[in-house]
Amino acid sequence: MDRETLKNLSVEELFQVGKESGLDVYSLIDREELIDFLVEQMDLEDQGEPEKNKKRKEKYFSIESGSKGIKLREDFPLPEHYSDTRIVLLIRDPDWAFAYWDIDPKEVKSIAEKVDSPQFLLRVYEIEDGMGDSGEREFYFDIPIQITDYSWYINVPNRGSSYIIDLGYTDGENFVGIATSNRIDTPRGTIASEIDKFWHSDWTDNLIDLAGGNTIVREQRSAMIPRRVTSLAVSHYFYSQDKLE
Amino acid sequence: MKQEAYLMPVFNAHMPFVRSNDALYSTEGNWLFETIAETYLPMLEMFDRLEEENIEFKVTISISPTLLSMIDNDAFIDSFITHMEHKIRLGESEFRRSEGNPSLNKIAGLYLERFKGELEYFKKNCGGRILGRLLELSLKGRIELITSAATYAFLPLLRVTRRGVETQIDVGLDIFEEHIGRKLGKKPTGFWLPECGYSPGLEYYLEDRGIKYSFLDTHGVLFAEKKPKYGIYAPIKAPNGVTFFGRDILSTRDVWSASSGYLNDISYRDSHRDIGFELPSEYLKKFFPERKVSFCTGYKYRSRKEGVEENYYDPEVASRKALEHAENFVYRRINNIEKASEMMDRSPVIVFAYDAELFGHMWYEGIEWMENVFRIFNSRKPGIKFITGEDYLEMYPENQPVLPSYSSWSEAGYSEELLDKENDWIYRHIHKSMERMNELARRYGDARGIIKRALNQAAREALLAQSSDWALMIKTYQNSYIGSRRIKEHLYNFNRLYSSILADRIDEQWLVQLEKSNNIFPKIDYKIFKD
Repeated sequence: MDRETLKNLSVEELFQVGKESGLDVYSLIDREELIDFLVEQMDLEDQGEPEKNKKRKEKYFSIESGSKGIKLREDFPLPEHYSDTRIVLLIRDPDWAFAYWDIDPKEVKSIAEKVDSPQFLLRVYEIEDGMGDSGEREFYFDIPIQITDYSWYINVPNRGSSYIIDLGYTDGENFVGIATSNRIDTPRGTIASEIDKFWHSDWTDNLIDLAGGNTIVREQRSAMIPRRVTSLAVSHYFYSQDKLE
Repeated sequence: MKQEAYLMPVFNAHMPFVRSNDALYSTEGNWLFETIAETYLPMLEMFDRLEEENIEFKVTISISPTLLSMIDNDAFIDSFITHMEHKIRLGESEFRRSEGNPSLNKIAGLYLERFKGELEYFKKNCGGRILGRLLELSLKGRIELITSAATYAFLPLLRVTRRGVETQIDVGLDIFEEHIGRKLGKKPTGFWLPECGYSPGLEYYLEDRGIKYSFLDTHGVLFAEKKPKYGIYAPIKAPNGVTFFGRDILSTRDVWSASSGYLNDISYRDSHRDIGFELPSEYLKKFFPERKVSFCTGYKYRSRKEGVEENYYDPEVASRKALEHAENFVYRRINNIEKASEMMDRSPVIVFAYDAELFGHMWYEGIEWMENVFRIFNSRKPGIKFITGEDYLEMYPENQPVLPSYSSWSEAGYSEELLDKENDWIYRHIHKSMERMNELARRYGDARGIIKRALNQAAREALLAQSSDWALMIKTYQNSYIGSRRIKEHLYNFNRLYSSILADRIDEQWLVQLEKSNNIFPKIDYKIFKD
């Protein structure tokens, strides 16, 4: 293998070469950069100029920003995904959570070898309170996803509850999890009914009213749903409800 | 009123990081300078006046670590002075240009005098250091200075790695120590959560670092795990002992509300109509030769009155309104606090918390309004005192032990603005960079030379990418281009540094360029990312 060979490979293949050689290449986004890196790291025969040339400079340094004649780069490519398999769950508001995930391409490949057309799923578990991350998983609903999806807004069924997601696939019969998310505790989004027996007075409700408590509850109830799911919201919502009933 | 009552004004002063070598040229730099000119300096001058006249006041000001680093930096100060000189020259020309139009001429002259006065005040009274004046007021017990997370990251969405949140807090406190703590000889006991962003558990990080109190939006307290006995008229205490004060939503609405908030009054100045966007650029360039795109000059001649030709801003009319609104604000607070007092077995406290930049910069008359508020409180109610969080805890160390609710003061109250279609993509990268920074810190126990410099720069880039400012700019479409460019730039720089460090192949020329431009937190030590 030499530089010329690498030049004929696709970016995906270049990543593959790097990975197989035990190199962390996933933060190198630029094709030329990747080739330079591989040539150098793998001690390959280097024929011809590195492509770190004018063309690249033009691309990155073309737009002049305000600086004192320093031409600042305006184009900052980021990797679309990272190579490790993981799923992260974030709270958006009492009713909506956001999950994003990455799946190691190797893993996708090995799944594809084992299973004919696997259906990827987000299995959303509601967790009994106070049980920690691996707590009692009470019940769940599934959200089918495509291998091309990398994030999803989830309309969680209950406020003031806890959720955890398994990212996985089914072979038609069994669910196989490949990554588990962190746990989230959704906010209750309203004034607690529970009273603290040591910290309570007959005036508590009046004080909360005086502070505008009920108007906040009303305003937040009418808060918007995430913009990305407005078109999908209905199907998401019904899907989860169906499963739960 | 049957007992004393307390008011706790809290101002959150924050600006995102602007490159010092770029400040005179960039839009972000202009924001910083305009905010210094319209908010920070006028606010200090107001405190000076109150102090001189022995008017009772006490305020808590959180200065974010990014802002702190910028206002205490010589390069910024020089650029700020240049910026003010440009403004004054433009003002002189504006004054001449408007000779034929008395109402315009009056305002132009007013601005000119004002900016001249401010530059003078900055140079003479502050000795070129806003911070110096703040420290003096702090030593006099008038201002309680606290700080926030390093780059004003929204902490609830950062909690994927423990060290990520801790680093934001640790670096923030280090910066505070460097610029303020050391000089005052004390550690801060309060901490401002960026955007009041709280999720249960954050209190442990605060508690570990000696923080005794923080602030939440109203529902953080009202929606606590159990009913809060005093509503928001007393703080609550998370189970580990950190006390949280809830901001008074009514004070906020009085000022902000889109329908009836003071700042929407038609007599007030329209802060969006700036000659920087209205006059030919050839004219403006004569005074601001560095600027290439349209920008705010601070010369704004219109009031908020719409649909009329002659809506020139009238400072006297606006002044009267600011007094009227201050009267109204004080009346409503007293009314509220008296009612609360009747229902409580301890003194009620009202926390009114705002972004500092709201006053002067966004709401031009806001500083005058605030000054009126302090003056009126002083003349009206002897039983009402201004206090800080620390003062309160001295009087009432015991507070209701209950866990606050997930909350923030951004629109709708949770993470809606920080996590939506436009900006949700950032978290994958931000979280990854936190993990990678942690990995680097573990792997390179004691780096030296260029590797060490690259690691420290990677730490800066990782922190800069986490600023909630970018996410909010992207979401609200206000400068979304700048927000998205900045976040991508810092993430890109980080990723590239990460792989060059691992490959031991660092482009020194590029590194030097980064060290020069993204030079926030010069003393940062990458090892802080290690758990």
